[in-house]
Amino acid sequence: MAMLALVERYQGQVFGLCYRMLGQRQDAEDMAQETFARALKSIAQWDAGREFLPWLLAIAGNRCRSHLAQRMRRPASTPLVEQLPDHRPDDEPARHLAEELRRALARLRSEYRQAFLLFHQQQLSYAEIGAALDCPLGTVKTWVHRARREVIEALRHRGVIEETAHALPRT
Amino acid sequence: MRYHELDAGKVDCRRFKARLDAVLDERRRPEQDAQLRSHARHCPECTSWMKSQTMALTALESMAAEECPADFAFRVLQSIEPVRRPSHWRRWAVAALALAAGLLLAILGWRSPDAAPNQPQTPLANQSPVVQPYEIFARETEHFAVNLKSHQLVVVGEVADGFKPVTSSVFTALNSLWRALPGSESAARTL
Repeated sequence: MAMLALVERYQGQVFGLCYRMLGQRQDAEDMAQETFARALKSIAQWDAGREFLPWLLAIAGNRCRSHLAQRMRRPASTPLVEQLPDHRPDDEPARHLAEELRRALARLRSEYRQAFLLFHQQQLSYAEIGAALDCPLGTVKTWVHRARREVIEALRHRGVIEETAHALPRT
Repeated sequence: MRYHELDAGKVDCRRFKARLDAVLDERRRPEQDAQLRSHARHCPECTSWMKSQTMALTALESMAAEECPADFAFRVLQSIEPVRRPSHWRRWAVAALALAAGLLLAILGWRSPDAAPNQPQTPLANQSPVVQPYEIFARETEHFAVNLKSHQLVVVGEVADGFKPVTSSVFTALNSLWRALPGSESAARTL
């Protein structure tokens, strides 16, 4: 029961990270499952003085990087990034903005996109993202900042922000 | 507007963007930050930039993240179940118990008043219509000892009937011990 509770508590973050890194649902499920299996088998190696989630995300990040390296050696049969799920409000300006946002995200460098989505969508901290992507905290911050600027510049360049600002009701 | 005023404005705008990043890093709302509001009041460009950030991040939040399948946790536990092995102490405990049980049976068999040395042996099933569990165990261990081609044990058994339960019990205990030893394949199958 304790193991079940542990998996249920962290599955969202682990799966989210795997999905952001791999871009495919099935691969993300497999890697998330492998992450928990490895973590539970080597739970004795976890230092109880440290936070559990960064340790778990570091394992997930390692699994995903290994998987990506294997994938690079194989010919790709499926697109690398699936479409994000469509849960947007059913009005035209918002739909248009989301579509343009998706387009802007797709044009980002992969590490910028991963860091940006992990921070703003998965709500991970910079330390957690650094552990997962195996890079210093300062680098993660730089990636997220650059991603933000590039996304906004892309949206402004296409005139999306101004259009949407006029079409959306003021809050 | 003089040249140095333009330059000062650029510096302020750079500071504004850095401040905006810091506020967003702390997951705060930019329009509630006094410093940002103060600069934005006089700078339409930075106001537009700030609104763009807020709008894009709000749109991103409405694009919900992918969720795990409902049975994910159960699948994880299922996947680790086959690779779980009993720990070393548990194997040793089983081995010790098996040895102790074997020795106990041996002592009981040796001292049993029923095991008269000159009495002809009859099948256990014929002695009593109700077969007791220990009788089944004794029959099985005897059968086991004979079938394992342990000629010496059979010979000892023929020489002294009283020895037979002892030898077969010890043999069974040793066999259990061997199977329960860490690293033994049969141990992994048994446990």
